[in-house]
Amino acid sequence: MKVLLKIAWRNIWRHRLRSLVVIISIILGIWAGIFVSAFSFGLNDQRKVSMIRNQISHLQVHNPRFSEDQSVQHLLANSPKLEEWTKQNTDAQYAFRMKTMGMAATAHYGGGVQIIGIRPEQEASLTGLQSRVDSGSYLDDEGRNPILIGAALAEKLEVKPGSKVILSFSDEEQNLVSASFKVRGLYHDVSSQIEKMQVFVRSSDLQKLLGVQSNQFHELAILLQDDAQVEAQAQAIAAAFPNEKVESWKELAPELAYADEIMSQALYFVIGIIMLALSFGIINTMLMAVLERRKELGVLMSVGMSKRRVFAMIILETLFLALLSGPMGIIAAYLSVSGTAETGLNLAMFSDGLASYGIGTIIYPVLPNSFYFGTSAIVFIMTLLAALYPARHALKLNPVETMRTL
Amino acid sequence: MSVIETQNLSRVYQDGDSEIHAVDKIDLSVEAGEFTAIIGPSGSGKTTLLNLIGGLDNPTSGTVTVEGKPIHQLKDNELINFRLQHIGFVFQAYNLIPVLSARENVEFIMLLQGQSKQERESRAKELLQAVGLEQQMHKRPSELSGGQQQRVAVARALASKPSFVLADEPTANLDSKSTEDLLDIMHKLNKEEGITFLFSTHDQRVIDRAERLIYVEDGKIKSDEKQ
Repeated sequence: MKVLLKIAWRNIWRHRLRSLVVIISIILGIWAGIFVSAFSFGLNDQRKVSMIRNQISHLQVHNPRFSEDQSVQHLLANSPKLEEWTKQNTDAQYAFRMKTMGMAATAHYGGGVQIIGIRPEQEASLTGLQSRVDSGSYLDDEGRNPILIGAALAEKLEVKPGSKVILSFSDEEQNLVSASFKVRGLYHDVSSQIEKMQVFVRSSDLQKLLGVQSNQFHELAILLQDDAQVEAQAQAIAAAFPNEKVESWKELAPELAYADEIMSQALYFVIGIIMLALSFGIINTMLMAVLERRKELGVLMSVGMSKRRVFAMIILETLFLALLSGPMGIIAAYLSVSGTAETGLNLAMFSDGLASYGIGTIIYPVLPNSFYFGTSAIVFIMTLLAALYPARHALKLNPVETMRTL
Repeated sequence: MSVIETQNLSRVYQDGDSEIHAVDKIDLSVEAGEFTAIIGPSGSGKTTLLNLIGGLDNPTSGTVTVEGKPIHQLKDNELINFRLQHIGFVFQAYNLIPVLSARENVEFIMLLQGQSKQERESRAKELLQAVGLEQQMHKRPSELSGGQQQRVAVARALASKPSFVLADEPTANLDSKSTEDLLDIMHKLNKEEGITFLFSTHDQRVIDRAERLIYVEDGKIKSDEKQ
């Protein structure tokens, strides 16, 4: 075995350039496959984090009927008790909200919006809404009926801070209510869809207009300090408030939760295809190596080298190519993933497209470690399969025919 | 006792519609310790005869018996093993393994036989010494001259302690000096160690040294004489 290893190793260096071409192409293939995977995972992660931080939070508590029917009367069953509970459990951030659908209109345009009544301070610390106000200012206790609207909607409505917007919606008794709001500021969001849809007012103003008491809300959003605590906290709250419905982000946005799994399957598939293409390169190279060494292999068989050993030698040569290039490709990929994981890749030029997808312009590649092992396994298996054909070809050689003379 | 014995040995090739009788009903017996040359013009069937005796080719009819064993009945894998244990080969084009050094080439056969490292090393050294290449044993074939390579090939052929050595035109690619050296070595091994050599050759220098000459033409033995 040792001498077979030695022969196989030396054989691959007989055609240095040819072996190097194969090695480099495997390195590049693995590197590209892994790096693209890390980039995709990063994109996905960022979308998830951004959705959790800016939009849905880790947990939301509602009236059990609210998710099917967002009518005004489907308030939280026990808002005051929930509020008390939030004051005792200070290791998370909370925001109480009112929510209703309505119309926003100016002289130029009118369209459907989701009107969200917030407590400005709570919302600022939970979703960072305050920091996303670009022009004008954030909501506070001053002034009458201030409103924050998204920059994209402002463009449609042709309003700027100081302008008036009319909001119309149904109150608790299904009467149509219209009220004039003064634009306090314009916010931006990574998602342009959200900028067009959501407007923020003070919850106290909305409660008055809807005819709801000032301690009643539709929604409690909770942002935990630790992602891993989501399930445990959801259960704890559900146990404490059996009349409310508690949902985690995975239930609120299942597409975010499944994305990781779907992504990893899709990426293994991509890497598989890359390796399939590379394995044809390997087959080609090894077949060439077998064909040009027909005579030599014939001699080996003549002097008594068994077919099993000839087969093993060709397999070993192929595996050496993979063992040389596989780790290098994986190391190169690891270095470039960890190198860009902190600085990120700036994709400012594609920012419009990314914004509507719900992510920022800098992507931070990230890859689960299991992926490196998975990729290594794919490389190993594909190379082994690629080795079989040339090795089988070597077995079929007939010593006399290969040598012509004895 | 005969080391090699063929009876009614034939090998027929199909060439389109016609049949070529490369070896035609040859009866031949080679005794232990002989130094025999098979001679004849190109295409006379010398090489085919050696291939059949060496178990590299299967006869169309007839038998080949080596040390009492009918090798024409062996299966592929059994033949490979039989060659490994009983037959030493020397090829016209040396055919050493290019990626192994002279010593490793010689050791390789013994390694296939499963001999211990110690045995291999000492025998390889001894054989390379016998062919006068002790100094070159760490060189690879590409670093050796043709004559030196062929001497390594002789050492390799002897490494497995074979019943006999088959050599197909061993001097065809060598100059006079190398040919003389090689023949001296083979002759010495034949005389001192009793090793049986069977050559095919055109080379007058080899013919002059051979002790038995078998003249083959059109696949048949035309003459067989000791000199």
